[in-house]
Amino acid sequence: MPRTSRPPVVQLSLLSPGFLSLALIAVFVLPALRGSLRQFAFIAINLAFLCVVLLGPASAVVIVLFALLGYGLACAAAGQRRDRLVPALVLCVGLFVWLQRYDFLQLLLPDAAFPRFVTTIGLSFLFFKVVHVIVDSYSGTLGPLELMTYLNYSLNFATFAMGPIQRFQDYRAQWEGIEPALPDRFEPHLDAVVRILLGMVKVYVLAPWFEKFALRPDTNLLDLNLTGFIVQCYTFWIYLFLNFSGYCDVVIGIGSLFGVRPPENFNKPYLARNITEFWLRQHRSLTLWLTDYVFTPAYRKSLSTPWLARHKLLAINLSLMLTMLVSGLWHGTTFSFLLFGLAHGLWFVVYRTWDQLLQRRLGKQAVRHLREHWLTRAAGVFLTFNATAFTFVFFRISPEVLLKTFRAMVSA
Amino acid sequence: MSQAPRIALKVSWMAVLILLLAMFGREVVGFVYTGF
Repeated sequence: MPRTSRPPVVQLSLLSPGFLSLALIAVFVLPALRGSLRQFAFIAINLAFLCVVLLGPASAVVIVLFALLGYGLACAAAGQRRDRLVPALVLCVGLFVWLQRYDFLQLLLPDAAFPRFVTTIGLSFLFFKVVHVIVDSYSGTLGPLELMTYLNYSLNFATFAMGPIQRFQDYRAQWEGIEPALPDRFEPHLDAVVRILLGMVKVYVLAPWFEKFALRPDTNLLDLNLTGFIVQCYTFWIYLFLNFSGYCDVVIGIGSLFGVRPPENFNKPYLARNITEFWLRQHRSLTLWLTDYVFTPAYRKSLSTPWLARHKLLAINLSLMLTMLVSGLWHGTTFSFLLFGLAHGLWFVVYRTWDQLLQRRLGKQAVRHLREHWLTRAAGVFLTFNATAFTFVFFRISPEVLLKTFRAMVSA
Repeated sequence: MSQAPRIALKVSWMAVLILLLAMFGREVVGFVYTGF
């Protein structure tokens, strides 16, 4: 068994004096500055956030070193240097897995092999940004990579802890004023403030109310009757949505006001009609990242195998399964998250296969008409909501409790 | 709706949100979406 099983919580208060002060400084000072002074002011804000608000000085140093390593690797891989890209990615992934102290690694290595003093909140988001910069630098789609812009992009306090995962090109275009975050009028700024307040209400008023009824990490599933189980799963889903989308509202509002608007992350995921649509509506920036850097390369690679090239559905399903396993492992370090990824991967496979079978039997036109029927849409929303709510059990319940439940079910 | 009433409406909405936050806001442990 793993020696530690950390609860999946990012301890950050958006109402803390530290966070609010830095947000106010960013909003009022950064737009008034120009050139390198603006860069230095932003890096000072970001470092203060890491050192004082989120991590502490020792962990902040590790985080900055990780970001700097990413910069070095991106520069080294630039110009289609494939001989450097692969070792760069291996080094980056290896370091990430080691710093995060994944459960499976703890089975292989002694306790002393792990850096105990390091707090890694936000490292998973930084890791995705770094991999994106390395790969795009390699492919030549990144453009010039200036150190200060890169550091402020990767350590941006608004999105550091929990995203949304912004692309470097988007960040730079807004930072340099090529694509301004907000129009130069009063009302869009007012809208941003309203959005921040709405996000705060979601996080600090609505989400805690739903949490009272939601699944807890130590909930004994066998003690629940069916109604209790459904209510706890549903309320956990709603709580999770309010908690995370509220956070996104706050940071998108703050980012917009200081000049770099993070990408949208949510679009009514409770209305998704299938698993594909769900992941395009929920944590969208993660889905787009996984599509670009896991699914597409895996699918292309699989098509280079002649047998898989003849069985495209299988190639897609294998790539989807791999993508969701990576997604699961990225969400958390315990085996529960692997099961979460596996469940979503299986669901993708079942949905894609079912869709293909329907299209072959009925034809594309008929399937399109069927999809638009109100009854099919309602059934799709109902099924997707329930399936996502129930798979979040793996997200919430600790591996120890899951194992205990599984053993009890087998012996019953 | 013209701009002035729209802005007045948004400012009122802001006041409602601040009131909600002040009256019912609860300190939370943190954010649960991601494990780290």
